[in-house]
Amino acid sequence: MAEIAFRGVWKVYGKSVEAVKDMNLQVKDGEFVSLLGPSGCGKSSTLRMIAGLEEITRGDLEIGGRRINEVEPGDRDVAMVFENYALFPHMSSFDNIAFPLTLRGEDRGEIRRKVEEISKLLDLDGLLKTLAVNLGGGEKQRVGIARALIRKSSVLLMDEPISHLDADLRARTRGELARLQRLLGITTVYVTHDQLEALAMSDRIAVMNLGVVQQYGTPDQLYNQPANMFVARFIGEPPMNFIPCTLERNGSGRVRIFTGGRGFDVELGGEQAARIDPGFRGGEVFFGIRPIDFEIAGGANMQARPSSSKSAVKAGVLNYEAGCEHSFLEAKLCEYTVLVECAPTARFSEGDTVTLEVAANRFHLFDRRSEASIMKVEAR
Amino acid sequence: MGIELTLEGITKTYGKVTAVSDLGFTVKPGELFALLGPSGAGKSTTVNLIAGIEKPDKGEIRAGGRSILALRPQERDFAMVFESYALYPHLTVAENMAFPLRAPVRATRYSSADIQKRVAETARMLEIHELLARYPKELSGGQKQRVGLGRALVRDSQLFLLDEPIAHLDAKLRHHMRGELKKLQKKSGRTTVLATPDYAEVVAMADRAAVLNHGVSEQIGTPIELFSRPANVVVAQAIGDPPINLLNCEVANRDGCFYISGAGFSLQCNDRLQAALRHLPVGAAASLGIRPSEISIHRDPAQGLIRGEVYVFEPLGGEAVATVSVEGKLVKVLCSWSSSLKIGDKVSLSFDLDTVHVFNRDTGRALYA
Amino acid sequence: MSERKIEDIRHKRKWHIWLVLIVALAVTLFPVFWTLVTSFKPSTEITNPTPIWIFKPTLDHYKSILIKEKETQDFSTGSQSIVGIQTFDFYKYLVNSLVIAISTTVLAMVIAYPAAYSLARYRTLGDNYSFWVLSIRMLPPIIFLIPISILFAIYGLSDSRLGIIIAYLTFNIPFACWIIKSFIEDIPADLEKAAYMDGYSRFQVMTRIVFPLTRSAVAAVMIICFIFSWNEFLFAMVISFIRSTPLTAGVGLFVTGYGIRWGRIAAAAVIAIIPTVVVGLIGQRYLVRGLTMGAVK
Repeated sequence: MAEIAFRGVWKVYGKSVEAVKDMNLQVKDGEFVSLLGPSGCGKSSTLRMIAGLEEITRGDLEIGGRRINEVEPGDRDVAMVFENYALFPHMSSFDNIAFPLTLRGEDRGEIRRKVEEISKLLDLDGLLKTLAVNLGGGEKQRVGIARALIRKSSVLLMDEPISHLDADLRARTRGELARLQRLLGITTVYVTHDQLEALAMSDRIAVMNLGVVQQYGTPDQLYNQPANMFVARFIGEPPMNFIPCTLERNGSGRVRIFTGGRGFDVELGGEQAARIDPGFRGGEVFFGIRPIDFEIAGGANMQARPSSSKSAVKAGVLNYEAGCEHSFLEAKLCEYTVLVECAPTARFSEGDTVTLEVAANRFHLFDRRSEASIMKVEAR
Repeated sequence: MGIELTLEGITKTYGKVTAVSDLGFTVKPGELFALLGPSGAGKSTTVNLIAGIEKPDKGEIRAGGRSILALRPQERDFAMVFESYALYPHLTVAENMAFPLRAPVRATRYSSADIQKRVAETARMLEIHELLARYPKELSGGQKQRVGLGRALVRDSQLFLLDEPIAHLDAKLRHHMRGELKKLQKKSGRTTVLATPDYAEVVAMADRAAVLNHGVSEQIGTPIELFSRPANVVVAQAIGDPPINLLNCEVANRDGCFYISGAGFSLQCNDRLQAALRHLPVGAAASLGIRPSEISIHRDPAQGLIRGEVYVFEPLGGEAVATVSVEGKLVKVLCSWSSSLKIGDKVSLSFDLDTVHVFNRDTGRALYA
Repeated sequence: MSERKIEDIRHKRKWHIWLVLIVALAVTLFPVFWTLVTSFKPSTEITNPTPIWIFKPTLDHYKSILIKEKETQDFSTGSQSIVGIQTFDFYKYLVNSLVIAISTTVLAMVIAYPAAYSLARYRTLGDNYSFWVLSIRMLPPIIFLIPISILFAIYGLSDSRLGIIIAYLTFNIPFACWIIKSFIEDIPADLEKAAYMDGYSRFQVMTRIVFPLTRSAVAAVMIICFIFSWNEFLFAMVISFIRSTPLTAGVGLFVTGYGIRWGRIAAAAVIAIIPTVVVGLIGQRYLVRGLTMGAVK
């Protein structure tokens, strides 16, 4: 069993640089968990603590139920893939992959068998004799992964392994990695700053900022029920639009959300109002809506959504950006600029007026002061 | 304001590597012309050749009708924006922007007061007037990019050269800057050449574009032309993400009617494809090009045209990419997140014959009626 | 080794490092200290076989070199008796040293900078060309001694400041070129491209963009050239005779046929060290940056 458990773990560099603060996280056996966040958020430090490359300042880290704070990296049964491959340049792919086993003094025949098995899995058959220095970026990365997998450790750690590849290779490798992990069932912790990678591959994602885990959940939960504005902004591309509003509760269970100057003034009733946490009495909020969740009256929608009621506002088009699969509108809603995703066939020009609608279950509300979500959490 | 730029038969080699080969195109006055291609395709080389920083081995470059090959960069009067911004670290933002106006080669053109006025106006237009006293190292990426832009805009140059100007900005800023750059370009009316590996930029900003591949221009046309009528496989794959799926197929002619068959499918061609396939030489191999957004995926294996198995399912936010293995070949399909497909699920795919492209597999050329 | 043990070793290592540093410092500074002490010791006590630490300090040696005095040299060779009069003219030697060191430094930079720029930016003669040119600096200077003396004698450069400057330049120019070249290579080529597009010529780009960005390297190199030229002894001794003698060679005059004037050597040495120490202290910030940045190539 290779569950990973963080219990109150802190990582402090020197006297005062708190890279990771009070982390309590559990990775189930066989799960693919991503640590996602901007640079400096603590994700790499967390990964290195699991690997044993960093000391744990406070708290307990367990792998497979065993406390491993003091255990050497070599004894933790953990394998790691690095951002810059870390291969021996003048050794062949075969030797690089075999290295962990040759270091252990395993039998030559056994090593050959295992290396061939793993290279078939990673499509490296033809490259085994090639020197590492002569490989392309994607190939080097696969050799690094093969090397990590050959020991069949319980845990696989990956530190931004595909960030150096160019766009299409990255997209392809992403799919391959996701499939590989599913097939092997190895507990994996993956560090990245690219939310697309995290969404595509993970069972669960821990979004981190400044050493603190902002939210830990499935991609669905993070995308559809962000716990705070940081997560809402970070996940989803293009990022969510935020409009500062005021929220008022009327007597009869209805809720009114409006901006000053009455440009945006909607009243929600029934099931839409029920989505909001009843504990929130009213006040300054941010109204959050993803570009793809705007609907344009007149049918230029991205996807037809069944929705019980909508709240329509008029907005002036600032800019229209044509695209292949989707186009974008930069529109002025009251005095706020919002980005709207629309069908590629739509044609708008600067100065047009559009009516934007928001489906009932697609908007989000956040407390303006705490930036926390005020929506009720549904089980998904 | 805008001049016409013409390149003819441009070739440039570095030792054994041919960076650009027999490249030619004309940019109309005031047009925004894009050079699209991955790194190594020759876009930066072409931009450097137009700028005068490099000399072509063969060919001719004309601006406003006159050859400019003999002119050095400082004499060509073009303005350039760099991928790395290339701001002078030892000068303030204001001094950076004034730098081109102070060049000895045009010392007489601008007076000191003139320079100040232009710098202030341009800074205001780009919303960087509060940063004029700062140094480049104190600025964010987006701010540096606007300063670089300001430095190019501040003078009355003949041509704009943009070398991947927004490559390193974050996604939201990139969207915004695409719109801004387009507006600025239209307003100034200056002929512009934009080099980028990002097809979304080309579709959003360019009037016309050339798709470059290993130094050769594969097709020149409007973004819509390039997307809907690619001349060959390279152009078809250059635009769109995920890229177009290419499935090998066999073409059979039975009683004057064309049939396409491939891994797991066999179809009678509609009129459009019939007309196109007539251009395929007898015995030549063909491939079918279908865009991921034009394929539908069905949980019922019997429903669609092609049967396959889910290889991997990647949710990406608003939508998802399902990679389906069809007799060993991987096909990418854009679908909705809610379809929650798992590896190993048996599915079927269907597509509209009106949206597919056919290519001659040997030459890579697309076939049209 | 667990993490805890690693911490302990870090601690121990620090202690060892301190010891090594102190020993090295002591070994390096001891001659300087000794010279300083000697310069204040009365002559009789200097030559005493057992070193004397407690003595009555005297300023005689300083007085004797700073105030003009005649020293006679005996050049008698068997049948002929020639007595030449050689004055230890401290101020003349000081001026010579200053002129030579400053001229060498400035000329080396003026010549080396454009050369470094060309080597960095133009690849026409191949990458190895610059290596061969600059590796002159690696040769032991002494092998040039005789050829230079002969050449200078032929061209009338013997015993001239210009001659010494030229001799020093043969080493300083490659050195300066080497360091400046690697700094110029660090400057992104895009900056120069931008300047060309902005309308500047190659030379203007070098002076207005590249030079300001290499200021710290230039300062570091000039400091090193100055110190080298000021301290140089061998060539100074061989080339100069009377007119052009700098301080380093001048001090050698105290090795007379009548005995070695230790006290005066010490006093002259102490005074000679002062400018280099001053320059070094002022410039040490630039020196460390300059030396290490160029080295990591």
